[in-house]
Amino acid sequence: MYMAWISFTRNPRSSLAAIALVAALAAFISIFANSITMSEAELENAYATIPVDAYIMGASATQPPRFNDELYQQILSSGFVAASRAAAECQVHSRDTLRALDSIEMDAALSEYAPGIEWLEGYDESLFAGEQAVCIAPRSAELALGEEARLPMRTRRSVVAVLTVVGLYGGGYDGFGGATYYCPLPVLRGLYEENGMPFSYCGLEMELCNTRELGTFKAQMRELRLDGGMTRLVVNDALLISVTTQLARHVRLLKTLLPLIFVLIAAMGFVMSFLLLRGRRREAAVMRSLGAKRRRVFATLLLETAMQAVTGAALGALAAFLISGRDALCLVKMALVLACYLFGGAAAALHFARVNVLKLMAARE
Amino acid sequence: MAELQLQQTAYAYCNKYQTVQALKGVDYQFESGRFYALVGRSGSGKTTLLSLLAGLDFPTEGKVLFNGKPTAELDCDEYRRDDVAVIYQSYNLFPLLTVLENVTYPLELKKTPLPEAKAIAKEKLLSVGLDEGHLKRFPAMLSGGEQQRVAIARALAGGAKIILADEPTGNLDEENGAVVVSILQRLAHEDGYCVIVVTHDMGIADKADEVIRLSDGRIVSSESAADAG
Repeated sequence: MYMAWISFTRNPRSSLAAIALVAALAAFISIFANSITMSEAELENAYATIPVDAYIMGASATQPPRFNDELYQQILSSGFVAASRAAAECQVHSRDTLRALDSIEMDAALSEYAPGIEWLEGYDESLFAGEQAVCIAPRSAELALGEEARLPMRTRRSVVAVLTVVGLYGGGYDGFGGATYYCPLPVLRGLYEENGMPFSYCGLEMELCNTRELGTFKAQMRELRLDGGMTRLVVNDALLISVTTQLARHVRLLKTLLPLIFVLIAAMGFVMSFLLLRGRRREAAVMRSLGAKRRRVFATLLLETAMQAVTGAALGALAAFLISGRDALCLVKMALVLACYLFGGAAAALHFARVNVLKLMAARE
Repeated sequence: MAELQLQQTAYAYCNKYQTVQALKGVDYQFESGRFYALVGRSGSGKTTLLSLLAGLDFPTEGKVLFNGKPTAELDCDEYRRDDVAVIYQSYNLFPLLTVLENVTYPLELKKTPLPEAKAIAKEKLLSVGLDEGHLKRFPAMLSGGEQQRVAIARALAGGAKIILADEPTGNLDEENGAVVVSILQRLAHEDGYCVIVVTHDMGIADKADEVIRLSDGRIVSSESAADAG
């Protein structure tokens, strides 16, 4: 220990060379590892902040999708749906439509009319979140606010939806397409269930979560046969993919390089220690000739290398802190730099601890 | 009483082209309290013999016995630490250690407590004529003669009773050489050490109790001072 300390302190040129190398390596690794951490955080942030939505569409623009409540519940329970809104509709009268929503945003046309809707006092768009038997009627239906709209189903005329008109929208003329009434989704579903009729949805929009595992979500949807045919699921993840693919590739590259850099550090530890100890081969031989065991000579040389490495790593950590801030400090990475450098240093120390003492006898200055 | 004995000691090594027989069946007995000079031409086997006596290598045939035990059967590190000490022509001091630290090193190997080790080291340095003023100097600050005296003090500090010296005056001027030889003589005659010196210098050989001539790996003659007188 004493011998190693003396060599460390009284041989400043060698010590400084080794310290400078380890400090540079430690600072580099700190900054490199920090850049991996930052890239990973950026990737996490991309997954957390880039919105991915999905919707269900039908076979064509004129043919809306149809899916039952069981499928709807399976999609919602997939673990990937953060928020959803759905729609259903049925034909009423001869050419009108009753459209059931759980959010006004589920209908683009009504959303557009929203600022001009005339409301019965105490009602607004939030009615779609409730279960009251109310509706928004077109002005062309010539119904007054508070009046009851009686809407017999076209497929079964005996079933009549009786809804209080709490909002009026649009102009006084509905053209040739027929009028559309809007009511809360549970109201229509309840009507179907009361009359023993199969209920089906015609639209579903979702905001997805857990977007890192979108592949799993898509696989689940394929199992539910939502990947084509009459009803298909569309996931808007193009932006997420374009951003995360590049980031993930970057992180993967950095992570692949990291172990190679540690191998390089071990090699540098060997070369540096070899060069520094080469000039002290004679000292090692003298130690051996005085009776020092090989392991003692090895320990002395290794300890000296360790003192240089620890000092260098501490300075490297300080440099990394000054350059990249506190986040760059990672004790595990510092320990790995030390371990790799010392592994190389140990190989060099072992080489010189096995010095041939006989050659010392023959060497005459 | 420490005793070194060569019994039909032979040593061969292979170089790139051939097997070299450096020593051929040497028999001899070295005793405490005597000063031996090993002389002979270059390549006669002197340094090989010294390295076998120092436990740095082992004979390929025959034995080197220390107090009746073959050195090959001893722990050679312990043997070098406790029983023999080697002094080199080029001193081989640790350049980064002070004089005192150089002499303390063998005691450190023996786990002697530091204050005691320092006291022993100072005593040995004084015995070779180096005073307090030299203790904190580094080898590079000393003359060749002083460095060789530090090397002798280091050899003595370990407590070995056999001193092997390989051309100890080879790098010294006549005056310093004479001082070193007189120290070695004193160690043999007054302190009971067995001192074996490899030398080309017939001036040293003349002061030895026994002069052993080596030629072609064999002892060709052995003269004691009494015989010569």
